[in-house]
Amino acid sequence: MMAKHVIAAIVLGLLLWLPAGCGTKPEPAVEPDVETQVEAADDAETEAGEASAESMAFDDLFHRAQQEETETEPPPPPRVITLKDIHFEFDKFSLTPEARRTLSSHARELGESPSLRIQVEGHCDERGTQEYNLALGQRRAQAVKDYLISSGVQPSRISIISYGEERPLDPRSNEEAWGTNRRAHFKNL
Amino acid sequence: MNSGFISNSPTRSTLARLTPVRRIAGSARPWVVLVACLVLSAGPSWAQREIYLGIHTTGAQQISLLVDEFTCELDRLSARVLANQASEILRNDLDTSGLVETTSSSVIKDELGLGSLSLADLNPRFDASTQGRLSVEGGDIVIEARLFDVPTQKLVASFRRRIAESAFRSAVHQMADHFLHALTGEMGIAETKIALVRETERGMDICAMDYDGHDLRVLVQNGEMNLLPAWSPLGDEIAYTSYIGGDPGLYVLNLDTGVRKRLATLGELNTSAAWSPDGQKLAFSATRGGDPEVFVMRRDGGGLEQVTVHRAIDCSPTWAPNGHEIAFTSDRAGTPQIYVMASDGTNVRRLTYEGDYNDSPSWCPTGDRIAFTGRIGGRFRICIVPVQGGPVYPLTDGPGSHESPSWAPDGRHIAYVSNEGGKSAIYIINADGTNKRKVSTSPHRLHAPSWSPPLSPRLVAKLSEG
Repeated sequence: MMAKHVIAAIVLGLLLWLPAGCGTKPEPAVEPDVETQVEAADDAETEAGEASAESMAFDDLFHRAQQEETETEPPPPPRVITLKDIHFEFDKFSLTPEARRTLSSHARELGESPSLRIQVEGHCDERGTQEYNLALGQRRAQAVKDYLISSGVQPSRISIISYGEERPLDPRSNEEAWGTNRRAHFKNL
Repeated sequence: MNSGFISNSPTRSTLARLTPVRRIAGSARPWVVLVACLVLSAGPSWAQREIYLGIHTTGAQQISLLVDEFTCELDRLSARVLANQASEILRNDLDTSGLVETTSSSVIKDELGLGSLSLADLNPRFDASTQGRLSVEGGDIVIEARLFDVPTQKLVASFRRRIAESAFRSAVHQMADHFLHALTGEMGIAETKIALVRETERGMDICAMDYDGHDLRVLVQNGEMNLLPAWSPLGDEIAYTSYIGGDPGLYVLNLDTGVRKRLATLGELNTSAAWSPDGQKLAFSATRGGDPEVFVMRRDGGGLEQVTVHRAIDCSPTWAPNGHEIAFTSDRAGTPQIYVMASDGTNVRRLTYEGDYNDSPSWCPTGDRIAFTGRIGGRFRICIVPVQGGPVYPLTDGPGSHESPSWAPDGRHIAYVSNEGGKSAIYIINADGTNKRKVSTSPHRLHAPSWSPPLSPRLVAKLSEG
């Protein structure tokens, strides 16, 4: 019983806390320029008989502008971007020149979506041992993270994980498959 | 357990003529004493026994044993099936030990044209013989057997247990270990288990099976990747790596309670758990925003210490049986190689100098050798290197890739993974390279075997119930 009340209280609190959704006239939060807002609202009301659509539009714009300045405004939902895999040489975690070029481009894309967080997965081909490959995959993911950080991406936006040889992309056992599997893969978080 | 043991001279003389071969030059004596201590500490019922410091190795030194068919009190098909199973399990267990070579009585009866065999018939070809019997008491099965010295026709050991049918295999395994000890003074592994990873479409599960591949059970299944189980030397816990929650961590499963606990772990990668021989600490490989290093912590997750300090990859730790040293893999010289260090990280020395890829060391319980996975001629083999350094010798041969060695607690067997049959499966081989056999029967890919220590009857029952 208690729990239900608590949950109801939390939900109510959240509803009051969150600004209303798009399309409706937003409730003004307590703000420094609340007077201006009230004035604008009053203006809208005194002209109630005239071109109400116009004034509503103005109100909407005004309130939206207000919203963009508030700290409680949630960030716009991050774009989902696809960062392509980079590949490694056999038994190595160093970055090839091609990998560096790709990563520089990834860094730029990440710069354009500052709220985006990613996870870098380090993978190996099947030919090593399970234990060392877990460590090597980790080292590969770390090498990618280090490069992205040196290219200006904030460290807190990048997490890393190793899957060793356990998650090959190409299940075949040939050079082509192995090359495909020695990769760092990027996942949106 | 009702078992007699006669330690008078005729029995001793039978075995005395089989001279022990000193396989490991210079270090056999401490090894033999170690085994004696292991056997002495193995159980109160053996404390009064005389211990044979006998056979170390296989080949011509094996004891030749005739396993007579188990008779049944009941003339039911199901009873006959069990009786045949008893002979089969007993023979397999004793043959696997590498110290005994068994023959079935039906073969000899055919040869000699006899309907039944007396001990006199078996002399001098056989050193010893077993006779067994199954009967029913209440809803239970009673399994009995006796071990005779053939030349003297004296009773050497006997065994009797009353069990539910579900405990049948484990009772025969117990009998085999009992008889092996009576014959050789050595600890058997017939009752031990192997933990492993089974890969299905839905994830990687931690499982355990009898050492002979039977009765595979799922211990951890959560739809995620669970890797690299490590059976505690105390028998009651299995440490493993789990990717549950997308966050690789070290976990410990308590086999008594079924409770899984995540240990205090750090940073990103936490894997390759290895128990110290007293079961109080875990070594493992972890990263904290850098390169993988070897860490040690207490079994409750506290007391975390970084042991390796090097910007190379350091991973795959394994403890020496004396608890003072840790062997591990490091690529600080450019390629993955086996190194040894004191358990506080000092005194690092390189152990392998041959080949460009050596990983997954496993320290033999006898303390003198390390098994590992070595790449030779482009393919992985199980290899052995002496702890004081020296030439590496490959233990396994033939097609496929052979990886992930794990020693049995007797120091005479190694479990490993091979894909020579198409899919990765668990194999065992004697430490001298003989008697390789596939033990797992699962249709799934299996890997990362970890051989259990001798288990208490309580744990054996727990892992066999249901």
